[in-house]
Amino acid sequence: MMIMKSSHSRRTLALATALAVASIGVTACGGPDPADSGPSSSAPIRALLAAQPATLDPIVGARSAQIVWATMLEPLINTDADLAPTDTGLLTNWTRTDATTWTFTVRPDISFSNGEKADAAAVANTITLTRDTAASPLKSYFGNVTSIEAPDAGTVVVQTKTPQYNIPDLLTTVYLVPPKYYQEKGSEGFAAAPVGTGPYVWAGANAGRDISVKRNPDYWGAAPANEGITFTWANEAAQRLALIQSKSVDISFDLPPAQATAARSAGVEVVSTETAMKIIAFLDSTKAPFDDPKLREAAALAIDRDAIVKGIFDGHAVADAGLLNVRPGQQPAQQVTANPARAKELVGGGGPTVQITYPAAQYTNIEEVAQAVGGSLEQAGFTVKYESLDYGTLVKRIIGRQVPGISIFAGVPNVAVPDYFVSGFMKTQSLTGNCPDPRLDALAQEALQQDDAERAAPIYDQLNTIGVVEKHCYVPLYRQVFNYATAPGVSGVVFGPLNTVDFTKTTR
Amino acid sequence: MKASTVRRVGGRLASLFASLLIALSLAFVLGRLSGDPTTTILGPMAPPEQRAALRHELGLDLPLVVQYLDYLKGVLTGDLGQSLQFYQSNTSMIADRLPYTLQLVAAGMSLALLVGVPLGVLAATREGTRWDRAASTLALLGQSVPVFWFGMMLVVLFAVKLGWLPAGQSGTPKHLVLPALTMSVYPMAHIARLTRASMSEALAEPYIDSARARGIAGWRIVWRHAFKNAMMPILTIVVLQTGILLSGAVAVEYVYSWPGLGQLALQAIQFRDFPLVQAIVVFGALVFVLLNLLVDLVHSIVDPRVR
Repeated sequence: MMIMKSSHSRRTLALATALAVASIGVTACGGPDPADSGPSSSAPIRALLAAQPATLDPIVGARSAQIVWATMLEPLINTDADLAPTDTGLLTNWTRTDATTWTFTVRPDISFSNGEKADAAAVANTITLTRDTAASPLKSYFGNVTSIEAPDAGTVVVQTKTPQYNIPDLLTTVYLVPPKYYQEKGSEGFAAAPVGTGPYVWAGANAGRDISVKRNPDYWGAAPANEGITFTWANEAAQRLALIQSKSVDISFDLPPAQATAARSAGVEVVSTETAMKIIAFLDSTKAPFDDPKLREAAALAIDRDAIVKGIFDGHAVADAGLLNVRPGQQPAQQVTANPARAKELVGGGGPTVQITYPAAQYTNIEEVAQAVGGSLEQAGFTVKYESLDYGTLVKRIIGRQVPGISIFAGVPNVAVPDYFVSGFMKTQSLTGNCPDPRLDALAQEALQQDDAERAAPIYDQLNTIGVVEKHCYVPLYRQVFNYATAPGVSGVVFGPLNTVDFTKTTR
Repeated sequence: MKASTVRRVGGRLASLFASLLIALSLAFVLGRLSGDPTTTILGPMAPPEQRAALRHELGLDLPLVVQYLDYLKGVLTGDLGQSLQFYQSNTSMIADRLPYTLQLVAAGMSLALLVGVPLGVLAATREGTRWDRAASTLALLGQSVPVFWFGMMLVVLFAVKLGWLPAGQSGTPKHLVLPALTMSVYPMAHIARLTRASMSEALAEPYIDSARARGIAGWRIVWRHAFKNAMMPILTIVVLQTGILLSGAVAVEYVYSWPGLGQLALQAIQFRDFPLVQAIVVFGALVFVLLNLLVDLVHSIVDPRVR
């Protein structure tokens, strides 16, 4: 017989009890619940994002976090509804003194919420930081900028190596930071409590759980219609739907097509906005089989973008026939229209093999899109192989020129300038480098040297026609549609195609 | 202390250290295989020279051996590096998120114990009856049902349809109910099945017959004689399950947007923030190794034969 001494069993029971008590103790802990703050009109607007925002330092931060920092910080130049620069922001005027010199006027008497002056020196410092910081995602935008000076409190002079008409456009995505505070706190410290000139000021954060901003009482512009915003996040789309359905949040961003449809069916108001994010099929003209122009044309004619949008996205995407039409709603005059019969004729009987490479799970329904593109090519007589890679590996291979055939991925511009796509995809030294052609390089440079966007537009049209319609190096597929849902009674959310949101008019 | 005990403890510690080193090395290698982080930070359009400058700033241009030794040195000094997306110290981020995960695991495990043990004892003491079959079916279901699906069903029922509980996020005890319930299902089923098996074995021992012959009350035989002898494997599994839950809370935290380590790990993976992924893996491995040590300690406390 073996019965343990009762002291042992008491110890083990005590251990189990301690576990249970500890759990009850910690369970009772916890701060105030943002989601339980109720729908009173004075409570902050509760905005639900798809992920925790990355660093709130706009100099090094991913643009996905812009939705949060842009409540406190302001871009140097505002944009209008058509994404064109306007004089309503921090920089109120800009002139091209000569072909390579830009002079900007800074709005007078503006201060950061910590009291620092938001003057020309602050503007020059921000542009310099953006250009010179190694981890700045916008660094390459300002590679042509040779000097940034603030000769007086109200003037900033920017000089470029070669003429560049779109400098004001680029400044629409540069957010002003206070020089002293930024230097004193460093990137990590600034991100922990950002200071800007915007309509809201930092109110605090619970690590991993929420970020709050409150109305800036000293804001230079029109005061926000709400007291503040509390941002929370949920990675899972079904959870974002459940939280808006259960009225735990006021706005739920980034609902994929399935959840947007489900939300609408459940009576939730869903807003769908065409974004500037374009999904494109890139044909590598430097390697077989697409070093043969006839086969590139065949592939371009085989792919039916309208069928993809209708069949896969059920209206949650917009067919897009151009590469350089940056603004949503625009379509180029010259387009390639699907013609499967002609595609089959061009392929003939050889059955050339095409590899389709795409980033796994990076974009909504990308697997299905790749399959649809492959199906169209097979119908035209191609033999298709698929390769699904993680996004980082795909980009690495594209940079290394190791992706033959077709690669499918997105262009996500931060600013509405065609040069974003030209420099990224069309030049010989671009990211994809899939269509090297001295003509394209020369036209790209010529476009930038024009006086303004209007004069550059015909050159971009020409570039688009050469790349898409004549050489068939690019098969634009569709533009992503962004969906967000609002709780009953919530209005005034203004979502921009470049992932910007204006909450100042939002009420509940 | 006897020499044999010292040898055994030394051997155990050496084996735990080796496990930790393997985990650290795997985390390092997998981090390096996960693609170029400069793509994530700078976007695909950044020119090669900017990528090279950033790689240099991050120390990614150093030979792998040097990077590995720096990494081990960092781990030893408690410096787990800096996140590529949040630009914060990984150690402080883990420290911020850990209380949430501990809260969830403690609540889930308590629930699992409070339900699993009585369920297992019930099944063992009523072997072959409807109670036994019902308890076993429940345990089987608990082990088979996918956590993700179960969590979503609870959300739909209790948050969306009935509106009784929050659909997710954290803050109040109410927020903990559904995640803890979801978290408890698998360990509860495991504990129930193990308790049943262990108790059945204990109840078949001759000392139980002897206790019955002496007229000791039934509940006393079950809980004071049989259960305390059946407890050792249950305790072991509770501690090990706690380790698994601590490092595997990803699904539950994802479903409920619970701000713990699991969700942090998931976002780090999605962003290819390999220093943060590495840090979380290192932390998980450390916790698991320490819990294994705890199992050994508990064994030696509860069972004198192990000392």
